[in-house]
Amino acid sequence: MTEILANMALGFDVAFSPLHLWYCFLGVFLGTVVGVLPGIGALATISLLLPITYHLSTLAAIIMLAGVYYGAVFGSSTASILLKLPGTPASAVVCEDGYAMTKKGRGGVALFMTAIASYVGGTIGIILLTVFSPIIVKVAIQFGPAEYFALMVLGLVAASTLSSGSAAKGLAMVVFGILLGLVGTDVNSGIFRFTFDFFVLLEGINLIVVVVGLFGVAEVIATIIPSQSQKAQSTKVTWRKLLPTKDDWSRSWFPMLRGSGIGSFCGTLPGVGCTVASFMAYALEVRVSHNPARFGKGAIEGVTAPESANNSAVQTAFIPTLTLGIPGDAVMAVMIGALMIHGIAPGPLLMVEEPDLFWGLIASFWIGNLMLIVLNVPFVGLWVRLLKVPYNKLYPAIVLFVCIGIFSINNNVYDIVLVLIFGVIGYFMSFFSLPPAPFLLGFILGPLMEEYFRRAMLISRGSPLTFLERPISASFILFSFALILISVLCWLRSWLRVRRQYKTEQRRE
Amino acid sequence: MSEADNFTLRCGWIRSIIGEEAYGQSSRNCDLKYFTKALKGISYKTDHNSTLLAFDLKRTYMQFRNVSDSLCGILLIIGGLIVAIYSKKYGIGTMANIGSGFFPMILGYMLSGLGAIIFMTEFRKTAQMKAFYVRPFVVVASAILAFVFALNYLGMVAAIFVVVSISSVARPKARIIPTLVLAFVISLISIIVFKYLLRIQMPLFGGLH
Repeated sequence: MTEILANMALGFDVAFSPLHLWYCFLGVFLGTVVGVLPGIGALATISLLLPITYHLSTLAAIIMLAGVYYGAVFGSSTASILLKLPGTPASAVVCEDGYAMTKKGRGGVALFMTAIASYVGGTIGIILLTVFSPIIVKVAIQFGPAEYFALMVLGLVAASTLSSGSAAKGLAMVVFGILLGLVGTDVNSGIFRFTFDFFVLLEGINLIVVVVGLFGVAEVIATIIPSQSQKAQSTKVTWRKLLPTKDDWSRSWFPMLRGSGIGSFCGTLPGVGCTVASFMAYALEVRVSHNPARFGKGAIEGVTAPESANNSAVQTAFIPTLTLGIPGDAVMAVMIGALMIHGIAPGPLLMVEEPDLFWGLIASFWIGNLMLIVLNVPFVGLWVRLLKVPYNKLYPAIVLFVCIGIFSINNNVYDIVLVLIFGVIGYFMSFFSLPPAPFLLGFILGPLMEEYFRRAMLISRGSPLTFLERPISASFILFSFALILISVLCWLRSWLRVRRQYKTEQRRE
Repeated sequence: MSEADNFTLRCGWIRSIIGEEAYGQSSRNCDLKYFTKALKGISYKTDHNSTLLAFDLKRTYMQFRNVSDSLCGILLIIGGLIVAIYSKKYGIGTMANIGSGFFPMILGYMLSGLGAIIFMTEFRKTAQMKAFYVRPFVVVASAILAFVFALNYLGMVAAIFVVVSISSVARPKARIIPTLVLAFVISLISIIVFKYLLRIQMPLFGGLH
């Protein structure tokens, strides 16, 4: 306990410097903006901001990027409640009851309660992060190369099989990502791999270029036409309408805690994340409710439970990222990338070697969540007005920002061409419904994986059984196989269903 | 492929190029019955703006397929094999001392294996293909390329104006005057922000070299 307090004191000491407070504010402010605006997500924003972080200190950069992430999830409920347009997928489920409340004239109450629920969820997530991180680090610090390799395999397999969509496609993207991560000079032998005599590729493909191309450019191309049909209306929210009744409070506090519990659990799992957490929390509330018919017609639990779930998931997602160096989703992968840009190797040593960074970041979460509640409750009218900015006026500025941001990294126009190439790849990936998140995870973990694999094989004198002989790595590998087996079984079930359907169709004819 | 189908197919593409409407937004579910009815050999069918290529694979139960999935599977198989064969030249090494080519070779084979799995197994009850937005794709790509050239030879002012004005055309129904006005305003703001507030190293006028 005293250890935790000492850690937090260190963290707040670092985080309360004016510079870090300013970047924390900037992050959560930008996060709220993009969370409110449908069409731009946290991931796209974080990738657009990555070039700027080159010019900042590590802690300021990571505080700002993290702020964008949880700020976006915090702010994303506004548009779902008022307009039935989810700002990010994480708050899609809030649309149901939130919009129903707006139609009943209780939109203000819903906004107020989501802000509270988000704060509660976020706080519980941060507490878990603070308590469990040192424990995990203590275990993880004893891992050898074989354990690390197995852990990465598990992380990548879990991220690609647990996320929505096809497991085969997710795994294929992981492999593709690792391959692109290997481009450049091989550290061990000095051989240039897959560079094809291009000078720019000798040092490998820059992470920023990949991220901005995949999540910035491709996203813009894919959003322009669908955004045309969205029409934002304005809804007036006055102060008086914000205040919830006693009934709202008594209905909400337990769902908030349940939601936070589910969210905290989902957040730590790779590939699950905050969107799934909010859906699960909603489903649980419907199941435990005495009167499930209330849902969809403006039940306050249907708003508060998912919101606290996704906000706690956002915070606990940092647990595997910061303690093990294994990112669970694309945003966390970008965070790891931001650390690597500044020359900091992610992993259990991060907490030991850079306590300022680790605890400063966590302290900034506390500060950021407080800022968010101030930003979201009194200023909610401002965000509602922001919804009127059309994407038409926004996206040319985004394209410009991509170009200038990338140029500013190395003062090099070839990087912009590379971004364009990755934008095209990313657009084709979304056309083929190939998930980009596993690709990014593979890209970031790939070189590390190869390194650990080589070392493990060197230590075991060439016996690949080493991964199964060591108990920890063996259990990671077995878990990965179990996950693959489960997705094969799921596939088989749906295949049988289609077959049965086909047969009945034929019989009818 | 009948004449009518051919026509609807072409219409879809043209519409997406000129961007008459939110093309493909309404790629609705095509139900099973539609496909299982007499789609033998290779034939094109369009239904509610979603272009589908359905073909009978040995008359299995998967008579309908999503063309993008098949194509994706084939691309992954070929790409994986190329990588696997190409990486052998970097040296496989021994098990105790792994060469630079070992890891990419294994990954290449894995990629083509997964591609084969995608090719064989990806089917959906609602086979639908995503819309390919030709117009934003072409316009945004050319805007970025134009930025590169303009920055290289003409300087920052021209580059910013070019990228903003060209990319504004990516949305359908873009009109000239508002587009130019928007481009002018964004350029002015961004030149002030990037050049004088953030001090990005770019010449305002004239090429880079």
